[in-house]
Amino acid sequence: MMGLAKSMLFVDGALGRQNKELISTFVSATNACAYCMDSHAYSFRANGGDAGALQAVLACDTDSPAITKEQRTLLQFAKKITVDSQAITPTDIYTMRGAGWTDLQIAETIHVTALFASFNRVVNAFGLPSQEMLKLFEEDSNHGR
Amino acid sequence: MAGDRIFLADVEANPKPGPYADAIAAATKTGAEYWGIWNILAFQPMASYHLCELSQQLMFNDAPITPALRELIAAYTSSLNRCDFCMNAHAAVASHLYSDKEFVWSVLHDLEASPLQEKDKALLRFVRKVTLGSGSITQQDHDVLKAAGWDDASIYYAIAVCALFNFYNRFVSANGVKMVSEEAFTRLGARMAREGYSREQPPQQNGKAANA
Repeated sequence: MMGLAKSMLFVDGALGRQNKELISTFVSATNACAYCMDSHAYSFRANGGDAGALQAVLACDTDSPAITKEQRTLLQFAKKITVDSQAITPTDIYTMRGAGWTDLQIAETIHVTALFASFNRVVNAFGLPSQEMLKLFEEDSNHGR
Repeated sequence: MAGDRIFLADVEANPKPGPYADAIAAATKTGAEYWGIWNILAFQPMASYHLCELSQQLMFNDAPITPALRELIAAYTSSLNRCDFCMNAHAAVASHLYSDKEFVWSVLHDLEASPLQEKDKALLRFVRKVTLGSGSITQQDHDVLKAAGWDDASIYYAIAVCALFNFYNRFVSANGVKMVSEEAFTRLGARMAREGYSREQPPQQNGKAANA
């Protein structure tokens, strides 16, 4: 599983780490997985992700003005894969392309979103609690100021 | 026929050297139907290599629950996610392993009314909750399984197989993998039941793969 995560998630690819962590955090929030929400929120911030965007993602609020138009389309696509993947049609792919995402980025979005469908369920079914990593990150960055 | 197996034509048109590109080429040469998931797997050979090794470990190698029941969990998870491709593929594998297609489909159509033994039904009820509401799983859900006679190692496999198919179902559906004929599902399902999920390591990254 780590080999798979290394080859898909922990590499820049076409989406870039920040977008991958944006998706990971959002999907984990949608799947109510506290452990993954927290650790990937940490990684999103550690990869330069915006604090306001993070709050919107953690609240599953894709309408928030803190989210860019491109991010909104990306997250709405990830949400549909998460909750109703069998209803995905070529129209969803055209919408992604229309927002400027390339086919390679779309392929990576599908892969990362599907990975978290799996990881979130493993973590939830084994009952792992949040490690409170985001709190540590925010405390560290406050001390730095 | 290029361009009609999955949504992303650029992905389908760019298989990288490796076992899936070879398998597609071999099937195309003889005109045999093949599973459209091979087109996605051929695009990222190293990620696919890890995915298939993981699948081999969880689905095929020795474990405290039988390969037949693991395939039934895979098909049942896919039915809950309404992924017709994965449901039919793994129903075919399970049918081969149970030597009883009618039994497998009775479970997929109505778990409670099916002749599946009560102990296995308890495991599939848990799989249903992992698939549809994993955020609300508690110790009590595990206690029910223990009372039904399942040990921790078996529960580990049930969770892992269910989670693996929650990946596959989305990977397949969002990429638009198409159904194949019943004959092809049966033929390819029997192959998977006999030979498993492993494929050769792709050629171009052997050095890196050894460390991954």
